[in-house]
Order: sequence, then structure tokens, then C-alpha cells
Amino acid sequence: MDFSERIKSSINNLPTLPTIYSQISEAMEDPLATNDKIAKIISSDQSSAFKVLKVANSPLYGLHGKIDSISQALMYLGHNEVKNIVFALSIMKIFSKEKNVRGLRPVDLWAHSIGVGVVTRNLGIAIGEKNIENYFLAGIFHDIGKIIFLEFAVKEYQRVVDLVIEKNCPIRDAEKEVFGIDHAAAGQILAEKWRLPQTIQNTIYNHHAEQKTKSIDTLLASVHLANIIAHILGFGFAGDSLISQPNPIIWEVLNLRRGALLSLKDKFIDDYSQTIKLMLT
Amino acid sequence: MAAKTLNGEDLIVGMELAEPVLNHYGQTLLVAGSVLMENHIKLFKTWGIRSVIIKTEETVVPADLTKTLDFETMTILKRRMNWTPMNDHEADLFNLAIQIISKPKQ
Repeated sequence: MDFSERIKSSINNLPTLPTIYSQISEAMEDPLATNDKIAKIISSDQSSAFKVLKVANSPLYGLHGKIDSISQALMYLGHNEVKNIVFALSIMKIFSKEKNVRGLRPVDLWAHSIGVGVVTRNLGIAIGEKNIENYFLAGIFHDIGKIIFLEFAVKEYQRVVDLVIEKNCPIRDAEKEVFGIDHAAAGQILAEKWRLPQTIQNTIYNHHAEQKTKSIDTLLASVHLANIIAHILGFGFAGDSLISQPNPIIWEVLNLRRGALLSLKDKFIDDYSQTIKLMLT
Repeated sequence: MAAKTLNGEDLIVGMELAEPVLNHYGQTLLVAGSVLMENHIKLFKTWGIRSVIIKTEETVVPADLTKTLDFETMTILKRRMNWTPMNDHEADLFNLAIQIISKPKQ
């Protein structure tokens, strides 16, 4: 069995979605379920509930400590956003943070991913996007394929990281050389298995927005640009230090006002430093 | 739409403002999007406005951003961002990188 097949088989053997997430999803689909019922499910895992409250009160959501119960979080942030936060926190628990390779630690990868989530959400707000519920989650999950490689093929991933240093190449090129697939493709397999929303699957698979990408919507354009900004601002570390030129189409899609990126810099940095403290500790 | 900064003496009637023009009290003399008329140009002279930002049609490739950088910053920048910015946003990405790379080490 080659690496590519091995990775696919390992992903297929992963457990299904975390129980708490499935229970919340089920309750949210029930038209008769009240906020209190959903809040009870979330509160059944006290450490998750505590973290959800901390994240909901972070500057990222601009509610400045007003949320003191899960019911309030559901009301102010919306069901999907709370579900997304629970989901992100659960996934971060599932994967080991110990499988380090020389030059790349999972904790730095998660920090990078959270950074991309924070910047993606802020870009969504900056462009006046009305529905930004999935923006944070899409950013957090864009590099989930790298976590999978670390989890299931840590020795081979050391070779990937060494190749990046040796050739000064993008990590996805080194992954293709070693595994035959890159982290975008590996992440997509997991996203499919877990039946994540199609928009999230699309951003995981296409976040590099290469020329072959058929269409780029505002979410994908935001994640693509956020990934570049997170590299520039040094949010965590994603395995290589190269900063690629954005796909030119994103500028038309996002239609950012002139100077927006420079004026958002401090907000990106503040939100990132607060959010990693809440999510990674 | 691209934009560029012009000195007061280079302004021509019919140009469109990309950014509002403020006096030194911070009051707006003319809002962004205004099309310049002769009396606007006179007004700027009266207030001592030296330059304004106007919209341009052509793609502005920012001037070489690396010109004033120290050797270490330039080396890191060239290794990490080996491409040329093609619009204002991409130039802003370079500026962000320069700010981060050249930040004094703690």
C-alpha cells in the first residue's frame, strides 16, 4: 500500500464526529428543540462549555464579556457559530499535540490555523459579508490535512519538513513528493468523511486557489488571503516560510477598500493573541 | 481602481479624488469621489494642501519597496516573498511584511 492509500485508509478509520457535536447538530435540526435544550447538551461537557463562553466573550465577536451563559451565546452568536466553536475545540482535542517533527509542532500549526480563522472572519466583516458564520471555522480547518499527516505519518512528515528546508519550496510540493498527495487533498478526504458543509470542504481543498480552481467565492477568497496574511504576521507556523502571491481574482471577489489590510493589522494581531490564549490553553 | 498621490501643481480639472482632502484641523474640504473643478484646486492652494490622492485607470505597480530597507530585511523579504506586487493591496502585503521583519527583536 503506498502512502497515499495508507493516509486515506487511516482517515477512514478515524472515529466519527465527536459525540457532543453530533448531539448538538441533531438538536439544532429539531424544530422543537429550545435554546435551553441545546445549551444543556453543550453544558454537559463542562470544559467545552467553559471554553465556548471564553471564546464567545473574546474580542473576535465584539461582545466584550456580555455573554455569561451558553443560552446567551446561542442567542447572540447564532446556533451555527456556537456549534462551530464546539466543533473546533473538539477536533483540537481529538488530535494529539505531541507528534512533533523537528521544525514543526502541532501546537504551532493550530496557532497558524486559529490565526487564519481570526483573519478570515475579520476579512468577512471588512467586506460587509452578511453571513460570516462559517468564516472562523473555515479558517481554522484549512490546514487540517497537515494535522492528519502528522497524526498518521509522523516519520514521513519529518522528510517533508526536511525537504522544505533543503529546497526552500512550499510544503505542499514536498508533501506531493513524499506522499503523492498534499495536505489540501488529505484534508478534503477527512472533510468528506465527516460530511462537513460543502463550503468548508471547498475551502480546505482549494485554499491555495491555484490556477485550476474553478470558482472563487468570498469565503474561499477570504481564507486564501487570510492564509497569506497569517504567514506574513507570523501567526504560528505552518511548515514553510514562503509567502505566495495571491491569486489575482481574489481582489475582484473581495473588493476591499484601499488601505484596508494595513488598517486591519492591529485588529488581526489583537484578536489572534486573545483567541490563541483561549483556545490553546 | 488604482490611485496615486499628486502634488498640488500637478492637479488637473476633471480628475477624481480617491481619498477625501482634509485641512489641518481635520475638516473635510472635499469628499472622496469628487471630480476636481478649478475652484477646488484654488481652495487647496488657499489651505496649503500640498498633495492629494486621485483615482487612476492604469495599474500602478508600486515603486521598489525594497529601496530603503536594510540588508537583513531585504534578504529575508526576497527569500520569503519572491514576487512583485501588482496592485495597492499587494503592496500593502509587502508593507505588512516589512513592518514585521524589521520590527526590533525583543
